[in-house]
Amino acid sequence: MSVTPSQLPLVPKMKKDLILSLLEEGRRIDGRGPREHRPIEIKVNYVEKANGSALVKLGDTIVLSGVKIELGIPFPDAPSEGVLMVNAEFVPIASPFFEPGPPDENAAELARVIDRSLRETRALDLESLVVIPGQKVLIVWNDIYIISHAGNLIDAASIATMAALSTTKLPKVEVTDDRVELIRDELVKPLEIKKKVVTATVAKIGDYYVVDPNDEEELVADARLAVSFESGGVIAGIQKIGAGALSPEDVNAMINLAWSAAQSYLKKLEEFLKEGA
Amino acid sequence: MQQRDFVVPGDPIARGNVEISSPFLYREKDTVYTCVIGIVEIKGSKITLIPFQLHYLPKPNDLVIGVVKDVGPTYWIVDINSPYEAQLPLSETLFKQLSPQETLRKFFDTGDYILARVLSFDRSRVPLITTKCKECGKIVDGKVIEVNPSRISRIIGRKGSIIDAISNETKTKIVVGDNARIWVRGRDRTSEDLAILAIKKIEDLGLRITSPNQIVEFVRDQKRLVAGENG
Amino acid sequence: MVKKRDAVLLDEKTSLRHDGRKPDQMRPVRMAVGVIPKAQGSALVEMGKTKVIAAVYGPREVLPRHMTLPDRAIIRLRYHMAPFSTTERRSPAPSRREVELSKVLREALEAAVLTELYPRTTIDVFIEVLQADGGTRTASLNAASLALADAGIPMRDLVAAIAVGKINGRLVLDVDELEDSLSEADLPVAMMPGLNKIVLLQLNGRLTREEFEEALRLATKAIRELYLYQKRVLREKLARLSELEGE
Repeated sequence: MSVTPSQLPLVPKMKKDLILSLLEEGRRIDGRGPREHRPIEIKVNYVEKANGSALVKLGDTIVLSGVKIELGIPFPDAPSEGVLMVNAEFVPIASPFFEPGPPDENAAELARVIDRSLRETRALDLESLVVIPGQKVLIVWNDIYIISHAGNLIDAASIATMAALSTTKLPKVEVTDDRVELIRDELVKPLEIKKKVVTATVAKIGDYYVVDPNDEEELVADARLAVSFESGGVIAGIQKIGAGALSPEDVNAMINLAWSAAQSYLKKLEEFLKEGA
Repeated sequence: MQQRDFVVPGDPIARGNVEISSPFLYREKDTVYTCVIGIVEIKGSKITLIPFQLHYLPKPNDLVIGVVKDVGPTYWIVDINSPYEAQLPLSETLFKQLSPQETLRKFFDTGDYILARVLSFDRSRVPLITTKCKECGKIVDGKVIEVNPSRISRIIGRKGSIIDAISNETKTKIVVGDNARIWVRGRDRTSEDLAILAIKKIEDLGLRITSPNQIVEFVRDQKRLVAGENG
Repeated sequence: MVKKRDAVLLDEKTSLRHDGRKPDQMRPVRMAVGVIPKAQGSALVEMGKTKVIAAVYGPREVLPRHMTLPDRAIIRLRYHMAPFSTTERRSPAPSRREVELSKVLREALEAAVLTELYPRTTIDVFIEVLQADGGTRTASLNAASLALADAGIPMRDLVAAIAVGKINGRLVLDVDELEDSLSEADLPVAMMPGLNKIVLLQLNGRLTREEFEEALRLATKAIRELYLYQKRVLREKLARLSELEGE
């Protein structure tokens, strides 16, 4: 059951007015232009014990994406494919407004948006994760941990997940007559990522669109549009977020803006992964 | 222990018969310890502790800048930047009782900034505030910022010298709330932003400002920078 | 569970442990405060590969009101491990161990925090283990204590903690996961070092009275080192913010 949020943080009216009047001059409260995203920092292998991990800072928003590989059984309708599971935890360290407990609707939404973008593009080569067809496969667990919430968790999470998956190493699998065993200490090959995918969010505030909204902008926005892109520009997912309404022109304009932000994210990822290699 | 030193919780500050004036100093046997991080000054037998981080606790007659969080039938719930939320009863405003169809939102709505004074606060009850005071009421223009509560006295300066210097130099009207919120009003946004920049500078350099002239110089430098960009 | 079958936990001749440490040697420690911008106070503590982050929010009012106390603040503490923090991916739902540790850690901090200064409020302490390699509860306390100080929450003293283990009959300091899985005893200890008071004490395993005394002595020495480190980190933060380097 979903209920209209009643405990949301309050943005004072004067602040809201300020945000709007600044936008009329093409500026935002933190000094950025409408098309500018905040500075990005990426640190991979932050959790060495995990098979892959990446800590991403997008301004003051900090997201940690961790990847663990386990043995499991395939889905009945996909016996020759490994399994990808994406989960997001909005843990209480990250914000005065996060309470302990199972993932709420925002965490569930974020996880599923990231999951869809990876699944629809077939970014992971799931077929290469089969051990015994129909019986044993590798499960890729991707857990997205929010460390600090200063807005736009989805974009930060998508960059962190791409960085983590792209640097994930698979453990050795030993198949003997009677058992299948995962030798965790022996990492044998990288997880194959066939495509790079990122998600970029644009918020509509009054008549204006802004890329990478911070937490206050998110609260005053009428609605947001999170658009996932492959590196070639093909749209790999869309999610309208928030209770406001968007016109078709809004959507078009926001997709264009999202693409420009996504290209910047992809470039940053590429630079970073090349350096690491 | 020097005249002036950084301290962290559990640091022994002094021994013997010394005057303790802060709730963040405590005595165990013969020694006085600090409970928070901050700076300690010792002058003779008097110890002053300046905590690095302070949580604002309301005192009667404090001037506060609040944000209305909720509206009840006969009162408002107001965020006053404190661990405790305040209540503003309708009877403590200059507004008249309404007809049954109208709500209190007519006067103050959620998200409004208001200037008020603290009536009472003891820790077993909710702090009560009033807008029956000079210049109190809804804030409709200018900007409101929040600063570190332990810096308020530095920002004000001796007898208001620092804040007056900023106000004069930037031609803005500045109201400093005791709850570490500051309201700045100028004839344009640039002068307001300049005043805010100066206030934030003092927040950072809190311990090095020795005279108002330093901050006047800073403001003039900034003005020159801005003029240079536009000139 | 990690079991390196051919790892030598404690070499007979050199007394060196599987990672080259001496019996009374701690793992490398790193501490930092203010790592989460939106939190009132926060800290990151690394002890060897164990990585823990703590955040403090409050004092603040909390609903439901009936949960609060009229004469002091309550503490809400949650100790939680990230799914990717352990060797096997774990479910994010709280386990009984996390529930027990949350209680034990809260009680340890409750002895230090001056809750009487903020009646009817809550002080929230949230701990997330990002990587677990033994000693997570002691690293958590070291982090939580720093985060509370960072948040300006008044405390009688900082809390520092370490665990002592017993391997092949020999007492060792700061047990990692491999050692813990094969040890005969595990003794986590936490203290308010300046006041010489113990705020957490648990034993999992068996020790003679003499061994216990010796273990406590080992722990106390290490705790004082950690305490100095914590103080240095906090002082450095003060210095940075006051631009009074070298004073």
